[in-house]
Amino acid sequence: MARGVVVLAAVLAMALASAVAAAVPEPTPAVDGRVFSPPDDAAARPRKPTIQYWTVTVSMGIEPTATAASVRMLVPVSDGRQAVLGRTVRPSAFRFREEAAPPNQWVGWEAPSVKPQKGTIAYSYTVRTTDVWYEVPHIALTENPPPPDPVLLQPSERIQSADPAIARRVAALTRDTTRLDETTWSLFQYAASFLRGEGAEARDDAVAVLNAEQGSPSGRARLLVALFRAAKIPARLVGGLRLEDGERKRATITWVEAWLGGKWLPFDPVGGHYATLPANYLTLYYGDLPLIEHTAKLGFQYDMLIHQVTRQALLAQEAEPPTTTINRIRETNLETERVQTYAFYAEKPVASVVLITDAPVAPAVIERIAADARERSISVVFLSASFESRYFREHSLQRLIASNFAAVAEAHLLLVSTRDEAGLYALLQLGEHRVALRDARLVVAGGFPRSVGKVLGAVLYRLVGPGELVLVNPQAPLLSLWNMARANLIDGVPMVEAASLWDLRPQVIDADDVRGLAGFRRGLVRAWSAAVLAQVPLQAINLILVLPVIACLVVIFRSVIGIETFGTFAPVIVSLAFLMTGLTWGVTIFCVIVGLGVVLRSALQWLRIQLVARLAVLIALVSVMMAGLTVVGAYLGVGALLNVSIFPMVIMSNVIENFTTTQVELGTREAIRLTRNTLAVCAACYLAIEGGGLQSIVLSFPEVLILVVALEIAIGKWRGLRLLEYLRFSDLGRADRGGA
Amino acid sequence: MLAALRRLRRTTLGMNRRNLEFLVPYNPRSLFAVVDHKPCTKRQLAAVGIPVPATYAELGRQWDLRRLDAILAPRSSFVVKPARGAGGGGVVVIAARAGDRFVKASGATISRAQLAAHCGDILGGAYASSTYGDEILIEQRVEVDPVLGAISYRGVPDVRVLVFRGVPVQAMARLPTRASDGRANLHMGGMAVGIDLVRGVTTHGILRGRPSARHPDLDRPVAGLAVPQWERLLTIAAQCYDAVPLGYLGVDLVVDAVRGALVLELNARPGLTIQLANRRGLRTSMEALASADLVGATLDDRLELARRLAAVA
Repeated sequence: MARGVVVLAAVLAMALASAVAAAVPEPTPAVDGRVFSPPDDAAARPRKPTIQYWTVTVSMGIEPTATAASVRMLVPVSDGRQAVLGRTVRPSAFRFREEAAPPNQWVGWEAPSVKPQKGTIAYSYTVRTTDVWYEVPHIALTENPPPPDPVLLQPSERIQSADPAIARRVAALTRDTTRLDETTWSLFQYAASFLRGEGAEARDDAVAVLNAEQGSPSGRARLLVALFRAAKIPARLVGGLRLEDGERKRATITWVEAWLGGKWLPFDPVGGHYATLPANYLTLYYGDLPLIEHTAKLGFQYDMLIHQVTRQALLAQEAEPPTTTINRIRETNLETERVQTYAFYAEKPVASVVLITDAPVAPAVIERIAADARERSISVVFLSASFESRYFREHSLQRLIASNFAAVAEAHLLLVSTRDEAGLYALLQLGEHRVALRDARLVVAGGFPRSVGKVLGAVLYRLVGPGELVLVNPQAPLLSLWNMARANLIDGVPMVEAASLWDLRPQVIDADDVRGLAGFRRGLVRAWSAAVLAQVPLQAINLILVLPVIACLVVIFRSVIGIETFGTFAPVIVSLAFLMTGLTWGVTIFCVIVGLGVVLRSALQWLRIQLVARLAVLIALVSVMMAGLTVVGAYLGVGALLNVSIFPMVIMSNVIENFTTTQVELGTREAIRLTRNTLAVCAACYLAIEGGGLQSIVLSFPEVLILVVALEIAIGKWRGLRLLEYLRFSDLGRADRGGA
Repeated sequence: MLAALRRLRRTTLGMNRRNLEFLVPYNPRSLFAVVDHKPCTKRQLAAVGIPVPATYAELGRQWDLRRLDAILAPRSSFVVKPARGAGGGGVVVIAARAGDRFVKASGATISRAQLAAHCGDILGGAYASSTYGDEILIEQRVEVDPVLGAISYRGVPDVRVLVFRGVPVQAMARLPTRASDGRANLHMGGMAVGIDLVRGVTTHGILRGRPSARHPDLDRPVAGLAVPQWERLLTIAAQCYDAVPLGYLGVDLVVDAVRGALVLELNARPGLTIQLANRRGLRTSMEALASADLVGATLDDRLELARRLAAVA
């Protein structure tokens, strides 16, 4: 089986040379035969070593392939200088395994094939690192103990320690040295003085670097190993990471360890560290190895995200009961519309974010955000509920929030994106449960007027008291919101700047805004807050207050447009029911109930009973129908049907009765026409209320009702022709002109 | 186009104006009870000598149905109506007897028991729009006059005269069609034909809100027919205002082949389709009448005024 191994040497060798300047010993150009005493830097040492904590997350992406794929990577192990505190393997479509190859540790992933979207691998580890200083023993070269492994003195392909040129150079450099420390210093100084090689010309094997007097960082490290070995000092290459907070890296660095006085001492000719290592050097492996190996011809990419964490953060995590499942993905498939919960918990989260949305989130978006969060060690919880009806959306969002209370209450950032202001109402649930978010930031995006946002936002702010409440208007894609929030919260970009980058217009509400409201509005905010605290959901107040608006719409439909309906206010109540079931299901339920009702009502005719008794029987029939629809809903998993009881039974019975009387008096055609009109007016009211966001406008500005009443009075006094009368009598205008 | 709209707005009476300017100020609610109950209407009209179909019986309770046989025994043709019915619902027209059974106007027969059951339905409020139950009115069957009968499909055509403050304003004939099931009900597809108030001649036909020159089932032209006893019809219509002082009143009349003009019922909320059938808006003449001084005007004065207004084209 031809399973080639591609060596990622070129990638890995791209180490940093920029930090060479501020090295401990000033590397001076080596002059043949001169001996420089190693610096006595013991006095300059800090008394206490620095201790740092880091999290490194490696993310790999493998492109889909039909053939077997395998990847393996070297990971750090604990030694005296560094301690690996935790490793996390995120579950994936691959089989994970660990292979110990002392002193190194491999981890690998295998799969017979890779499907699209399934090629992501993530592995992270948390380490504690310290800085170290050694003194090279002041002993004779010959007194240096033998190596643990004779291989460490042998030449290799790129460390040609037996090459005559190397031998000559070592002989020249050590001509005057007798002690181990002198020899070591001389060799180190020589290797450290070389220039960094550029581009493709960069040499990366010992002889080439020697001849060119310049080379790649790893080439220079190899040269130093070759020089040590040629001088009979056991030496090896070390691969590692230079840790920098918030950095995303693809390259490792290489330094050298030499066996001196029975210990491995570090030498970094590129970074200029002589027998010392700073705390941000993380050892990944020993030897001349690539960090990652994978099957040939595999579309592969990876990067490593580095974060510095605090000891407190780690301790707080350790205090929590250890969870074996690092990543929980839960997807509940309720009804035809979906309620989804996705959660990605970072092992050592620096922040936690809860995203709440009322539309199904595209897997790609979840993937993007989750990957982003993973790299930054952010726990992310997605809650989404998608329903047509705003009433259900609010309800299911509230239910979602209630069932994920812990996550929501502890989130540093709550991102809510809904079609309309449903998100705001859903969050008020927190107020109902008297949850204070204190320093969390709330970002709520939705299509609502800014003035409404200001009032409802103030209620929310009063109740929940977040650190900051940001309203984004109109609704923005989840991804841009995330990017904005991440840039602002995690990278510290000012909100306005982050928002303008993603084309968003945030409206920040804080304590000053709440205080700054006009007297009446402030009282209103206080009143609504009190209502929420008294467990009266604002939606209930909403429905009460929006009723007069619907009634006004019905008046407009009748007196200005001229659409006749069954009863004056049947459309008011029915459209209120539509607000809860949503239009599609509302119309369906209406048609089913009226259709079946009319059939049953004609059967009642045969019974010959009086109107009141007949209506009562009809109510019984309608109730049975509604119960039936509920059961059918439960069977078929249709959510809207489960809540069919919202439909006003008495009103529906009246519509059925009206239908039948109209049928008798004015004919079936007329009855159907009136039913159609009633339905159309209900739908139009529904669309006006929903589309115009009237519910929240009335809630925020109840004085609108004065306007509504004024409008109703004006219409009541208006004597002009109704719009449809122009159509109905259009012949009159023409006939008169013709002089008929 | 705009000129037509403006003219339309100026001359046509719409629902809003009808309600605000004519229904509310001129029709006291107390009189609605009179016109919504047919026997009551008939009594009031008969009191001032307005001819109405002869009443055979009024039955108000299920108990009264015992007497049904006795009442119907001397009659071979009659009409059973709900007292509070509207639009002709629940009306059964018996044209003849065939042995033990009754023959309906449509030709179908109905047994005595079925008729009694129907009467029970009426009493139960099956055709009433109020919750008070209903009563039965059994009255004379109208023999259709051949002139309007010729353009009616199986049923009784009637003449609607719109009377404002006792002055006839517009009139139309309502013809039954197959779609309206023998009823002169425009919503069900009955045909409306305007009548020239001065000459008593039919003008334009309207079917389901659209102009139509011919009867849809009989395929005869509906225009140009002289309505029999036109002067009398007009006089009776104007007289109704004296019996039931509703300012804005719709009077439904029939021409009986034997008894001549009879008032069938009154309507306190007459509709506006009459404008279409006459190809003429109501607003101008109604507003002229509203401001006219009618104090002390006699019946003849009012009829004279009606002719004068109608003549102004």
